[in-house]
Amino acid sequence: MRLSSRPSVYGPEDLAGLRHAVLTVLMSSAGQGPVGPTLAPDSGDVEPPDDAEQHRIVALVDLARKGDVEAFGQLYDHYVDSIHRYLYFRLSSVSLADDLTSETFFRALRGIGSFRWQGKAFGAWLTTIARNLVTDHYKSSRSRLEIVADELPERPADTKGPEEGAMAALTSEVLVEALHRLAPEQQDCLVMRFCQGLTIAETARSLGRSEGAVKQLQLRAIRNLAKHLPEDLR
Amino acid sequence: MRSRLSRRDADVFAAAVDGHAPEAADAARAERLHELVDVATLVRETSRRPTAQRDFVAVLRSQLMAAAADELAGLDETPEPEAHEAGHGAPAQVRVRRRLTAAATAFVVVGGSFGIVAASAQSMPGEMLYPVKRATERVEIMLRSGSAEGRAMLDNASTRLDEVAALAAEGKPDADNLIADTLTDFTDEANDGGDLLLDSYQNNGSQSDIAEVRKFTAASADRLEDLAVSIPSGAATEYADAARAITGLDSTAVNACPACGGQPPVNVNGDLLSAVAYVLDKANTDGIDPSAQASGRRHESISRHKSESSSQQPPAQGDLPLLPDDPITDPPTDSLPGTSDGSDSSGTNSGPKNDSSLTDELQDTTQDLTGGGSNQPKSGGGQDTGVSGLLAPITQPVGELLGGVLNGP
Repeated sequence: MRLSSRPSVYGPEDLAGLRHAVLTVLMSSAGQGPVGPTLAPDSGDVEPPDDAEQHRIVALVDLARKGDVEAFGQLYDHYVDSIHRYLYFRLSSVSLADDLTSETFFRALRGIGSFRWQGKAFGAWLTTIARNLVTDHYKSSRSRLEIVADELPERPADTKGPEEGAMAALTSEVLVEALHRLAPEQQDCLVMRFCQGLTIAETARSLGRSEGAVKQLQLRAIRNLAKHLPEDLR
Repeated sequence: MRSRLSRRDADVFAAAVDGHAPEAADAARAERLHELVDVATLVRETSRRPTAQRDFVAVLRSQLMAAAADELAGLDETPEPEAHEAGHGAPAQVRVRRRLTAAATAFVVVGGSFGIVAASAQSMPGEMLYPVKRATERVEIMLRSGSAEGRAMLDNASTRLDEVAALAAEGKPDADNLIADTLTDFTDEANDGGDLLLDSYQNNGSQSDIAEVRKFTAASADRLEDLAVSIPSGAATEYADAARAITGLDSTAVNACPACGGQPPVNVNGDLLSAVAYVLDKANTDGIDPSAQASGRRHESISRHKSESSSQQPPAQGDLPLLPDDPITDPPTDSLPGTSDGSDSSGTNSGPKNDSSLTDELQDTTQDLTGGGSNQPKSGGGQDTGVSGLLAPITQPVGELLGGVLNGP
């Protein structure tokens, strides 16, 4: 249900407390003061599953399936960040992510006429296309053994401050590096679940595994990731 | 067993990371769980910001739009039976449907081609001429009033059941939503027609009106029960609604005039269907994945009701996407579902035993409801098959389903 490009349901306030603790650790490790309101996430922090939005997506998919160009454009708008995010975290390169994002959506465009899944599974379908592209990329021998240079994501125009930008960038870099120590399927699972915010069901769909398998996979992946994170971030 | 432990750990972690309060475990495990959830939160937080530059996004969009004009140009415009949500279809689809029907009505009223109207008479939901068929019915309704209108509506409702039966017999994987919608139409038309006839009886005292209703409900009840085994899970809620509506309509008619019409009172597997719908709704609203035992059985038991639908999900869990064109992996068998499921989750052996006694209880109940239906074993398609025999595919899995959930942790 949660196909938005931001992380999905945060749940009740207990998770907000955890987040606060985590961010405090981040900030203190860089010698900053306590977390101020500027670091609080944007509006829509706790997002309940949006039924109206899902209906809209389903309607758009149906229209696009039948040839509506603008509907496809709106689907692109809805999913482009999520797909790019998936690709960035899996490839740790913005330019690569750009290329493969483009490729993903062009393939989607060519394939949408014969899209037979339910409309609400469109996001999982896009992610599957992206994932296949990542696999193909890693298969090409040139890139197998190197982690592409640490390109940092460009800060969007509404960055709130230099310290926070630098902090976030640092964390991002560290995270990506740790992430890439994991087996590919664990990486996929983590990125889908926690970067794109896909549900267990969507992730299972995309990975072609059962939901139970995905739950075990995400636990194993988080455990492994924790091992590779530096002490002060754990 | 290590595998059992880690499955449990995985479930606990999954719940915690999605914001559900974790179960009270010992302090060390709770702390470890918090650590892991923190890591997940860290990942979420770190990846909050868009990674793509806005310029890039905009440029790619215009490239795609330019290509889309060509790529999408060849796609067909005719409305096919599409797979959308169980039940009520996306607003855009409903609008399209209504527009088509309104246009068809105008077409029929203005005296459109006799040939097309005639050709539409046999059309089925999802086909192109189906709106013309419905529009024709509507026009006929418009020309009548009072009890004649009511009777016409009940006739139309019966036609809906014909359509459902045909769709279910075809067993196409995409048909769930057509069947669901048609069942909803049936329910609406039965209620509306029944209301008109009941009103007519109140006003005129004509017993034949009530008799007409009772005849309709009796026939519909039989047909609904026949259909029970072939309704796909995606239409189970609508089926339950239809069954309840018929039962309710019949009892209202009986109360209005107990002596009109000679049939015994009707109850379309009412309790069973309510139980199934209730359990599934409850599982969905609790947000739980019921113990694997129950859910495994639910998947299997509901899969037995489908002909060749490729859906693996129970109707009420809205966040499970369907699998694309996967062949069904649970061929219907006569063995009790779930016995080979593994005794993993609950870890007790009392489950199956309780389930079978619950099943027996359900069978007894249904036999009472159906007026002591015969105990003939289910035979293939024979007219004399006892209703309880027909119900067996429902009572057994439902019994186990209820047993699994009620006896669960």
